[in-house]
Amino acid sequence: MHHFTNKTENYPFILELSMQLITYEMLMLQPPPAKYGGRHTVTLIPGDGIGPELLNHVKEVFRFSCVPVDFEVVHVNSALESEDDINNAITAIRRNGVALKGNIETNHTMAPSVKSRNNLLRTSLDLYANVMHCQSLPGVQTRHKNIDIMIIRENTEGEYSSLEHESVSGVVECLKIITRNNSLRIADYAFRLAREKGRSRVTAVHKANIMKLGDGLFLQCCREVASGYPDITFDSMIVDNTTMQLVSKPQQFDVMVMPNLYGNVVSNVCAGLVGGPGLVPGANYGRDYAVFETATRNTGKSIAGRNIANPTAMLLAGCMMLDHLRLYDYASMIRNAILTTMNETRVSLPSLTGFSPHLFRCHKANPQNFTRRTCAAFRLCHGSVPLSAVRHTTAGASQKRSVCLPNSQVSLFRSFYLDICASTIKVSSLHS
Amino acid sequence: IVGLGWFGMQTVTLIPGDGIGPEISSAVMKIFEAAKAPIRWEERNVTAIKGPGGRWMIPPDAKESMDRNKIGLKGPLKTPIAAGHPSMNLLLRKTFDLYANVRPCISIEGYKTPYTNVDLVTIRENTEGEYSGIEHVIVEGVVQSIKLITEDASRRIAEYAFEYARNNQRSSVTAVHKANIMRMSDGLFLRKCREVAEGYKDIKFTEMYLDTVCLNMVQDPTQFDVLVMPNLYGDILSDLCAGLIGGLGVTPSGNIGANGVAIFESVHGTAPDIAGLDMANPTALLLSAVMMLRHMGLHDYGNKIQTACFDTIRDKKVLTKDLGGNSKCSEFTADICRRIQDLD
Repeated sequence: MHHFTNKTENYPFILELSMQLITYEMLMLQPPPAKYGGRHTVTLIPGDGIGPELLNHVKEVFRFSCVPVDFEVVHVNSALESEDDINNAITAIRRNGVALKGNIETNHTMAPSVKSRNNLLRTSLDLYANVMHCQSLPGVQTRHKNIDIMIIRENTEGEYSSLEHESVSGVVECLKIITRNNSLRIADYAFRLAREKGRSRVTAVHKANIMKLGDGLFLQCCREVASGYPDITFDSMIVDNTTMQLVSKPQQFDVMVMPNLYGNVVSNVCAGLVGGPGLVPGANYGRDYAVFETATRNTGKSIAGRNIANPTAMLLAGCMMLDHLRLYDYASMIRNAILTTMNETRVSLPSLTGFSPHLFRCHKANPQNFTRRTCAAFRLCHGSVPLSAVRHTTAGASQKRSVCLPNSQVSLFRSFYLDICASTIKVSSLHS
Repeated sequence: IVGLGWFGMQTVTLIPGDGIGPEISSAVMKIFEAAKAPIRWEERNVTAIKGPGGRWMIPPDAKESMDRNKIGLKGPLKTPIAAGHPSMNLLLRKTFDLYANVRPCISIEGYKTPYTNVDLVTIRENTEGEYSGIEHVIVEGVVQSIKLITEDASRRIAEYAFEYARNNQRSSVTAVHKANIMRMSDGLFLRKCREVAEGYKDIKFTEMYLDTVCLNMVQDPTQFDVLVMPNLYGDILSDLCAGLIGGLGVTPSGNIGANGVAIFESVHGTAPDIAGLDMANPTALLLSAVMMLRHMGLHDYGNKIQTACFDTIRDKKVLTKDLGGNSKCSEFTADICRRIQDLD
């Protein structure tokens, strides 16, 4: 019974999270209209390593929650040299507009002309903004508390341009491209996002003291955009100082915007700070398309197939996708269920306690159980009453079918359930 | 490892630097005197002057002193803005071909950070990579920066990393790269590391992506031993590791060059606001000097001084302001000297 005592603390957090997501999602992008009887079709790319199993968890939870999303699965074989697979995937995403993907492995023993498939996907669809929200989650033990950082990373150019050549034998040049257009675009995205979410400070991360022209241009673009947002403070920090500050005082950061490679470093550091790669979802937004995945994009080959990978990040990415599709109710309900489960099972996931990523230590909680418990938590909260019945009345909550539970636990669950319904109704009334 | 000179004393070029540089340098000299280390100091100034060809260079007497002594200890140097000449560190690096930057990061027992038992070394290639300084504006609004990776430099840094690991009884070397994205450049770096690893079978060699290293580093830094990497990643990671143990004020650093030249330095700033007020913390420069002693083979003196320094910090009675106390630099130094003499 004591498992649920700290649940009420989570509600404001969850509610606020959902509300924040609703506001900026509504204003930032137009999701594709639902087709075929109110059901969305989303491209699903399983990828390699732990990708397939994590996405199976997502499919299971969605099916259980009766989410009106159909997945169009597109496999990409990373062992092949031809780019047909990834082109198929890109076409599918163009068709559906939204995708959920696992990471596709890049075998770097193959010839350099075989480029990273993930990178190809991002650049072809022009998913220029990678957004990651690192928050200290309740119930997760980490060295630093109260972290709340949004990282916006330029996703298409910079060091990831894949333009390399060997000019002389033994000398390789790799080009890092920074353009004014892309820098302005990402800075604008960052400031708009900061404004929608009510953030007060944007920090640009750069290395302009060394790369004077490249990062200098990026910084200049950020400053130009900042002048159009006088309500938001803008400052800049050199990347090595940034990492040093992140490990000593991460609470000082609010929103951070940066080019591609520094974004890679900083997002991984922040993911490690809040509890590991198994917890943080990430989103790639373009003008027309959106692709959701785990924030740190790990393939996790060493833990694949052993039922130990943490599904939280992918499940939360699925929730972000639902918010993008304007299925806010489902998103917040699944999110509630996930956080409930995280607190309830008290899994000492090493990725939750901040040690080796992805592994579940507690034998009672393996990812399949986690997913089942998430579904169970969801069912306990909502039974199988259709959403419309829950939406309209608070009184309707007490008329719900009671769930099969031992008597001692019924009253406990009912109060918990009533609270969830109340919050769901509040959420849904905002945009119905 | 440099042999001892005349009368057993080794001459070392000392570059006090700017700001708090002179006071922490004198603190280090006092401590070395108390430890009776066989070091003779030769002070030199490295403010850039314009050479005959119009190119900026370090003063010839400084260069001559370094070439003769081979070992140097440097305090923080002011980075000039609009002085017309490049940063002094860059100039020193080019002059002496300092190709390896070594930063051992060891948790200091008395200085608490959220991370404990950190014991790793970052070895960073210091001459090329992303910091080649080659940039062009292709068309208006499009800039390209060139990252240069060469076979020779990669092989040299890999060899140094393995030699360092062997000489300092470290068990594994990890190459940090991003070869999934930068296939050719980091691929070349990785290939060279693998080739060199073949010759050092007693040391375990692993490869890890930069993002995975960052992720694991902030969760469990004890899993890392020696890390070798190109310039940019090294810059970021070495500062990350410095942050783990408490910042640049307590982190030593050494630059190894060709021809046996080695310059050890403190990497913090000149702190002009506290210069001359006897408030500076000499720990970074002191630990760099200890690194220098070890490099020269004078391990006993190095250990003695390091133990005294760590004991003083652990005791927490005489700490400078940045370590959380309010003692003066001279008091801190005196305490270390006292402990060294007690140890004898």
